[in-house]
Amino acid sequence: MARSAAVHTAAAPVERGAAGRLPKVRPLRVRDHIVEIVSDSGEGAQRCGQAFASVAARMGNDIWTVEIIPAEIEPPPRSIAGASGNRIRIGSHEVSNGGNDADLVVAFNEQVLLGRVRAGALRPGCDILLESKWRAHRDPEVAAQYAAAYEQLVAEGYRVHEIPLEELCLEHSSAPERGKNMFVLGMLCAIYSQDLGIAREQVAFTFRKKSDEVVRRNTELLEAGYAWARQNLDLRFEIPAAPRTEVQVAINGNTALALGIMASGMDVCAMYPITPATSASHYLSEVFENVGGIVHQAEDEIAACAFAIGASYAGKCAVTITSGPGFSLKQELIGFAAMAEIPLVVVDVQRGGPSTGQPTKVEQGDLLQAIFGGHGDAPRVVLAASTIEDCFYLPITARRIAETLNLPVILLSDASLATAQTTFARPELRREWFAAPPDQSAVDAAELPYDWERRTGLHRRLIPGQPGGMHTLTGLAHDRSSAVAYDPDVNEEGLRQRSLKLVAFQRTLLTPEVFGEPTGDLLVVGWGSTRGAIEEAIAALRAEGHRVSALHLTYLQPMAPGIGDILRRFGQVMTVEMSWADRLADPLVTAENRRYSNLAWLLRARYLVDVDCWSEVKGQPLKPATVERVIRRKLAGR
Amino acid sequence: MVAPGVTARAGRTGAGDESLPAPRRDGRGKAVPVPVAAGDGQPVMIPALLRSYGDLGAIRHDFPVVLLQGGPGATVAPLADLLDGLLHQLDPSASDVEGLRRDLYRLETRIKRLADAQPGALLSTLWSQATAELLEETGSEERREALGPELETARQAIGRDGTVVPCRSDAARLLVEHAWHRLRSEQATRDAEVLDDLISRVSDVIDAERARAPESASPAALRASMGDAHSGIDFEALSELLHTAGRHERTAGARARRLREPLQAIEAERDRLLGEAASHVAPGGLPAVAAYESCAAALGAWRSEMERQTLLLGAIRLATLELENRYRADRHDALFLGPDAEQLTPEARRALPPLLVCLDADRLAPGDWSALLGILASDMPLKILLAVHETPGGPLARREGTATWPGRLAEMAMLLGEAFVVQTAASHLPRLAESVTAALRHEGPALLSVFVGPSSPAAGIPTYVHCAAAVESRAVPSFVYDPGRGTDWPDRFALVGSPQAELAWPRHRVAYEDPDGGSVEEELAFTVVDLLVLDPRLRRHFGLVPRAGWHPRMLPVAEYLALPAKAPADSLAYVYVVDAADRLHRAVISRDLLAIARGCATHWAKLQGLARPTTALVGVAPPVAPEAPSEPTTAAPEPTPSPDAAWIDTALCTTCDECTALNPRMFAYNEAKQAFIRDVRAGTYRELVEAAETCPVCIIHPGKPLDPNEPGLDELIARAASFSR
Amino acid sequence: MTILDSLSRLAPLRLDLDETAYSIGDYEGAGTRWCHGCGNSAILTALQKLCAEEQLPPEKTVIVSGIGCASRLPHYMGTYGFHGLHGRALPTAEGVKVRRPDLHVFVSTGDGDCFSIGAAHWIHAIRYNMDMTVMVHDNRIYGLTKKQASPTSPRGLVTSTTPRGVKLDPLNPVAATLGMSNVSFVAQAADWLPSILYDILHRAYLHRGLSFIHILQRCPNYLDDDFDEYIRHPERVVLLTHPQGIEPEDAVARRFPNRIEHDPGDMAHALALARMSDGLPVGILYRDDAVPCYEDLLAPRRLPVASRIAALEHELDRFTVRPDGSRSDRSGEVIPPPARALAG
Repeated sequence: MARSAAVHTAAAPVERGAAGRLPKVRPLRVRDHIVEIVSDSGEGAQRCGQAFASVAARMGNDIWTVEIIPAEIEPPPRSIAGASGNRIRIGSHEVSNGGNDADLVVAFNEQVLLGRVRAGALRPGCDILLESKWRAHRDPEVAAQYAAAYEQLVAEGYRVHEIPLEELCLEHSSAPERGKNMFVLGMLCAIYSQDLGIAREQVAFTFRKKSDEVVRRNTELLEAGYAWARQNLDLRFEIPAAPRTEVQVAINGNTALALGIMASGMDVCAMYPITPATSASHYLSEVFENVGGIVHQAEDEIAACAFAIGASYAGKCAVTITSGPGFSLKQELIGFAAMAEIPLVVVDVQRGGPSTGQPTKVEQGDLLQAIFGGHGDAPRVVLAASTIEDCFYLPITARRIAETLNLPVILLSDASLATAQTTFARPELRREWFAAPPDQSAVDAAELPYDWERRTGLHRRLIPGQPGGMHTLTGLAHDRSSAVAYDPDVNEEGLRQRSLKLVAFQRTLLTPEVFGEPTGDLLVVGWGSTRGAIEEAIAALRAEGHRVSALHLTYLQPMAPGIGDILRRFGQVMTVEMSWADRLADPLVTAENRRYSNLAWLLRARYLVDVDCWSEVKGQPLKPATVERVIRRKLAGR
Repeated sequence: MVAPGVTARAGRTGAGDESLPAPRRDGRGKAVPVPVAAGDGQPVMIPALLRSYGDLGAIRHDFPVVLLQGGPGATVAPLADLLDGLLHQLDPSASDVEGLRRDLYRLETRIKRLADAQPGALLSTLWSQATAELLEETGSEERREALGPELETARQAIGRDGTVVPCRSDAARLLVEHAWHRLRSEQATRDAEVLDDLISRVSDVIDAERARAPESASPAALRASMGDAHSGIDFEALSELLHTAGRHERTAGARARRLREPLQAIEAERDRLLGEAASHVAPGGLPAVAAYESCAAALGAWRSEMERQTLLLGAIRLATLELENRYRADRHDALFLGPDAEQLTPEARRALPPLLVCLDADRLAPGDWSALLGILASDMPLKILLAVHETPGGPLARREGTATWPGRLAEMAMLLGEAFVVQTAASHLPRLAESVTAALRHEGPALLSVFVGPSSPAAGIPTYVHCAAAVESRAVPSFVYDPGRGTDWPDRFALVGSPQAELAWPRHRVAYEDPDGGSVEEELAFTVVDLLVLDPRLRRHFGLVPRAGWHPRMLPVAEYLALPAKAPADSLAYVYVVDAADRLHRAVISRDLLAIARGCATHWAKLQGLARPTTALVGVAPPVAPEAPSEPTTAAPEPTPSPDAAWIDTALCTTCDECTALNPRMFAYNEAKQAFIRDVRAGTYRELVEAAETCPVCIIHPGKPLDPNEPGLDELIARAASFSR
Repeated sequence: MTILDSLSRLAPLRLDLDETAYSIGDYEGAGTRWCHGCGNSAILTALQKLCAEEQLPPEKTVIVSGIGCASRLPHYMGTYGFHGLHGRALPTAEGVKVRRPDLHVFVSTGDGDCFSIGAAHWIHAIRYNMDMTVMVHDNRIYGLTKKQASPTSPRGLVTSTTPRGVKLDPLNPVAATLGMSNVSFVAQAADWLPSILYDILHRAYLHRGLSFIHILQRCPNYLDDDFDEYIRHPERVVLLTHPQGIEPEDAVARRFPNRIEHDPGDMAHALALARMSDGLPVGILYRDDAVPCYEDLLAPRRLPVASRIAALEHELDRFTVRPDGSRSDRSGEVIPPPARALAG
């Protein structure tokens, strides 16, 4: 006879049926729920979360998962900072971000749980399923910690369900500490009325590289967890699945980037390991060969960029992937690519800065560097992915732009997109996406390597192997024949022509659509991964009748036509960003000396509109509720 | 005497006894007649030297052979070789090796019998059948327990499977077709890979062209190439921008159009080759070969094949030129206009995919004979297998005294041109497998003239014996002529497979009983006449003389031929024969037979003259021509310049521009961009000295001044001194 | 014998052989702007001679350089050139080579470019051993920036940045390179021995793998007398000769009597030579043709777009979920990419 959960809350304990059986519980219908599974790292909470998310996705729900990662690889066990696991947001409607507070938490020990409480991740009074083995731990200190934490949580009003997870698993597995994550998966499937059949498939898929025995044991644990929760828990939710027609893929941002890079037909990726960009390279290294590509792990960030430039110069456009610190190191070479007009795609998966900053945490502090980084005027196109779907499609766009304009294109992502997983329509690959092979046809000896078309600065790139095209490109100021400049006008001519390429390209961009009404009291402008949170907040406020709208930018350099007009149609404009901005609340900060967050600087400078900004740099994904609060305050004029 | 495979075997297995079973004798010491049925009622006679080869089943030789499937290495292997190879792997000291050897030989005997009954069967099949039989007969239970697994392991140890072919008149064709298959499929696979690479490079050119063509800048094309709606781009605007920028060439795409047709041709060929390669990989049994049965058919096929190949090569040429950016319309457009055989050089024609022609000498179509000569004299890579049934005695037997024996074609072919020629008998083909492959590989025509035994064989004489005897008797000398080897005859020609090639006739010992029961032993030559004994149609040319009638002026054929041309009228040539009752006779022979024998002897002598000593026959490598004394690499030491003349040690000049800047008329660079004194009078002695001083590597030697009136000479000469070494 | 070989025997191809042969002039680019007497000219000439000797198509030849006097060399060639960033010539050249094995890649760099700002790349380039020829022009001084100390400047040398003389011993590039993993070709040459320089360059070009040539080069402006001991006293130069190495011609032999036979396969002896203090070893110190090339190990494949798409669909399958909850399995449809197609 399985043990039932001891449920303690400030409220009265729930009714019990005979033999500890719970009365049949009718599932509670919710539009949207957030589940967190946390453990010490290596205890499998991550895997459990991923699996649960996939099951939900396959049931037709929209999902968004956020990895909860400790900074260290092996943090001490049972430490508050060591929480490792997943946050899974499941919705009937479109889910575009990690959401606000967790509605249900599964914790393998109370310390990591406390870590999440401190991070403010939990909804007050939410349900907590807590491994109870610690209560009777042989080390009195541990037992005491547990008891204390438990009392505190109950006192704070959380519904804590103590569950002897390992003990329950013991009946099905010799190594319960490793098996319990699948037991938990079973419990969650029961709680959220998920199809057990699909869950079984998911388990089989999760362990596809392992032996059948492993799959069998884990399936058994899954079923045990499911059965146990049915019998012993009074929690039951149902999140109606929005009916779907098209096939979906469920991936995280970095995997999407890697797939997009492959789909763009680029076939050289040079990189140097750096968090959080590296996981994209991991995946590329695994599969790029099958698609005819190669990943080169260079001796350093600079070499990686130079290698990519060399490959681009002699062939198809190549890509280098990095994060903040590596991006800074590449600036000189990015400037060179702009000067010599070599197509290049640089992906910067942003993290907390400056310096080493917060390697595993999200921030949006690289925008200005992306646009203005390096010395002198080195025009480049800057794009930012705002969804995981963007992470797939934008590399294709970036490659095409780079080869059309012969300049570096910088694609910004960030740690939150990199690790978050969601679903979107499976892309239908097109051969047109794939870069054409390098042109090797003979050219007339009179053809100049920089035969700039005066109005647009565009020219045809000459590639080694083309008879008649021989020339030496250089980072020195040069004329149309790539000869080093000794005439005073030459440098200026080159700068003009390279800059005109951006001018010309800007005129081909579409004015971005305003989310909400085209006019109103407040316009919130954002870029990158904050899109989901901002638009969710805006939608909520508009539902209340507030005249607020949002504008989200994909092209940061150049900026699409018509943005100035949009800004001017609103009473107030503010950006919501995850890069530092001085707080006006600080006594010495004034409108005159205030340093704005990245995008605000740009908008103010370009459109002469008094754009305010609000920013948060806690390294956590932005929550819709936070944005909502900020906007309310702004509207209230505080 | 000894059949070829057999001698070879005696040495290898170290078990000589199984190779040459002595005639069995009964209690009374009288030879028991070999059971040979009389084909045409008369008593059959066989040459005494073949006396002991009645039952081939008991003797190990090169047949049956296994046509090995797939895998690298040999294409055929005698069954016996496979088993011996296996036994060789075993550790001889191991206890049960002898047991296994015995079992395997028993198995071998079974497989031979079964193979005779089931042509085209796979070794694996026969093996299991034979195993079953053996198990059947094995009495003891635990012996059976052991035997089954033992033989199965042995089979797996051998590894490769294949069709088992007994020595029948079709054996030659099966062996050649098998070798042909292996070659063609290998070639097809290789070529397909090469073409595949070519195709992908051509496709790259075409794609690159498309990307440069204006169409690629159309709004639709741009939208398609940019990812999707997410790109946030106005494609009409972008398209307009690109067109006004005019960075797309109207002309682009011309190459793409030029390449389309050739590419299709190449792709088609690639697919054809893949298909061919696949077709050659037959799961089991014998794949059907497209072999031509008449010269006319082959020539027709060859002509159309050559046209096809010319087109294809034209296409490849064009593609290659384009890839190398060497295409010039004026010069190369003609290339792909159409089939023009004249375009092919003889070398090219030789290198084209060959065709296999299988002819039967007895069923040559009218005109085939001359067509054959034509082909062999040409550069067409037609591979001709000519199955010969007749011996040199054929015309006589058919009473066509004047007709040439088709076997002579091989000898003629060697003189015709650059054809690869192999002549031998079916019995020897397994030993000549490598030469056969070489012939099929040879770029140019090849003739494989193979004696496959009479179309109507004498009763009871196995084809193998007939073939072996044909070679043994010099009637069908076994040789290989490889025009690819060296330039002179000894390099190209070798009497491969002919026994005791240093002798006029091979000699063997024969033992028989004299009337008093004593045993007489004699060494005899095995001549063409011994072979002809087997031809019932020639019976009338032999006169049997019982022992009573023997007299000293009867000479064995070999000795008779050795006599001075004017032989004593009363001497007679004979061969020893054994009749159905196993009685020994001397058979005196007719002048016609003598003439044939003399003919063969002469032919053989000629061939011996062409070949090297037998010892050097196997694997002769062409001698390396002595290298011409090479030119001295360093130029002959220049005459040391007179100390008075100005000069530059040009070889050491570093192209530093110092002297040329000082006076470009006096100093100049040669074609290697190293300085020399172009015109010593184009400047002053002062300039010479200054140049010497500024030269960073000090290789300028001013010598003595030319103009004695130049000011400040004394000082200059002093300065110059240090450079006049 | 493949179908392409039979192609080479087509009659009209003979007509195509009348291609113009390249002369030294075809490899000349802009007029040199090096100082008169600069040793770089000799290196440039040797390279142009090599191109002509080997008839390298100018469009298939790429000279990659960094920054410095030596790095101006590409501008003076009639081939493709890449005059890149200070210190970054090697990684750039690697990028060029990795997808374009059909291109002949040369790197022209200097002591500052290669041994100082680009030192990290130097070590790893040797380790990658990609098929290219690296010419380091070592004049032991920074010339372009007007006389600052370089890592190879002799101890005590007074320069703008070391007014009281260089305090450290110079770097020994040859010994250092010999000590690096996967090293496959190391030679030392001198600009004032043009014929030897040429022989070495030729050998280096023919070697498959990274050929590292340390070229001592005179700087007439800032360090004009540095090599005089060798120029004035040729006997102090030690010529390394060997059938696998170089065999100098008479004109040279006349002035450089001091030779020793050195087998480039002998690493121990090579290291000893690299460290010799009395005399200047010139020749091929080490070569090992067996070291694999990185580009071969990476073995990039040229796949038709169809195969690429097929492989990518296969990847998407791994992440695909269907609305009905069933995981897609289209592996049946996936066309596996064809057997390795040659790159280039």
